[in-house]
Amino acid sequence: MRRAASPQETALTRSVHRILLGLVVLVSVFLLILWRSDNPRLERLRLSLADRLAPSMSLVNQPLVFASEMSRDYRNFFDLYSQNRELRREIQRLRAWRGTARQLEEENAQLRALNNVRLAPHATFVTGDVIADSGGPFLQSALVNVGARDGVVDGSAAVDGNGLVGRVVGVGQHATRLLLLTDFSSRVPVLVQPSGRRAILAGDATSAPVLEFLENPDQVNPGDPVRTSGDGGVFPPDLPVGRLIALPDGTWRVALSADYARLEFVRLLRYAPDTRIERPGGLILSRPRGPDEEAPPAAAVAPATSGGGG
Amino acid sequence: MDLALWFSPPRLIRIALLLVLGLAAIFVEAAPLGLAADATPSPDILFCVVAYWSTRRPGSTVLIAVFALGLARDLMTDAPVGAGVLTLVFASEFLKALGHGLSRRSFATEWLLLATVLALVIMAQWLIVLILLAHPPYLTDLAYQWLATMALYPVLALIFRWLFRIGWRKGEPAPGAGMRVPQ
Repeated sequence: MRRAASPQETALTRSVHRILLGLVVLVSVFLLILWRSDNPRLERLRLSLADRLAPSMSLVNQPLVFASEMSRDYRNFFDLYSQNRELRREIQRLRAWRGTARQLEEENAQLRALNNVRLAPHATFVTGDVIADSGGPFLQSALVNVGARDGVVDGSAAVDGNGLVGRVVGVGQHATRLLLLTDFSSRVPVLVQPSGRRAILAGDATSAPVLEFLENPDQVNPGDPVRTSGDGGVFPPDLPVGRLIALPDGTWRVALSADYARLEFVRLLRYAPDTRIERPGGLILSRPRGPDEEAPPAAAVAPATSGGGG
Repeated sequence: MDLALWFSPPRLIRIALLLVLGLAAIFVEAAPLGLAADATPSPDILFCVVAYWSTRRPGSTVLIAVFALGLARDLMTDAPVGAGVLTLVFASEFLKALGHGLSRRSFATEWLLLATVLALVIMAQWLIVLILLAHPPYLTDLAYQWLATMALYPVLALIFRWLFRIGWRKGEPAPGAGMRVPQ
């Protein structure tokens, strides 16, 4: 079979190659349009790939992450013993606190039951391992190894031990994609305490996102704690976000509480907003009956629920 | 085209090796080492792998394999899907076209050429994002990525040369060399 390629064959190969290259360009442009228009199909494609690759991915990543952590914490090896003792002591102390907290929680619950208090729903959570980050400079995002199978919901808030990290933007079976607060397209409604001023936290690929649309900036001070406001019903209210920083040019930024440099585990909160009042309640009155209307079913009809029947 | 040569086992093995190494490069790029916004962007390892294969084994650097790897990387690392794969494919085609012209040159020349190609690739990605009216990344971040990639390339080239025994071919042209665009 081994023979020199004839001129026709070379020409054929070349034209096949050109057609292939043209197809590649077409497909790429099509994908770019899908990407730019935030097509959900692309997100599904992304997550189905992540679902397939997630197990092997953590296999490759774990040694790398381990090595980087080792080099970062190499000093800890020298005082491992004293650190261990200190941790043991701390665990003892925290155990005592846990007992106290449980006792107080029970007592609290009993007192609430006595007083008929209805609390805002508690957010339940799933904890996941961060298995990948976006790597490149284009997007600030991360992949977590829990998914719809573990009960993750699209749009949930992601927090670490200290504060808000980001938002779930895609859910696969075994993987979830997070958009970090630092990404260009991240916008989160927040509240500056103690003044209660509302603002929008807008990411700009720096470690301290900008605070936009801050009302009455003269009432806030640098160092004020910033928390989620819960506006929009996506995030639960009152999650810690960070502390306010004032810049000389008059803009406000937020130093994030979440420790992005050592983000290994994140908690994805499952949160259903409490009953919301969307509009003022309707008046309850007896309406005068029109000549062509049927007899009303009852004398008092709430207009909001009457529809066309009343 | 000569089918027996086209589907010869050594060539298939080289393509498989390219796919495996490319996938490993994507995994390493995506490893969660720098989640902070001010962390240095990870180097473009996939570019190094594809560039090495395109110059050393142009016949085995199949267009479809490069396309699949680029697409997988775009999807896995949340880059602008399409921009990364398009620029990677064109860079690979360009390097394949240069082919053995490079083999007579020194490694420094090759390194300089790749640095130029990578700079063009990164600028093209940046421009595509700008044209699509999305928010392009900071140029300083891109410059760091470029520097990190070019610093890594000689190390990877050494690994491929001595561990995988992929170097310049002597004498006969690579199988599938007819695919190369004439210089």
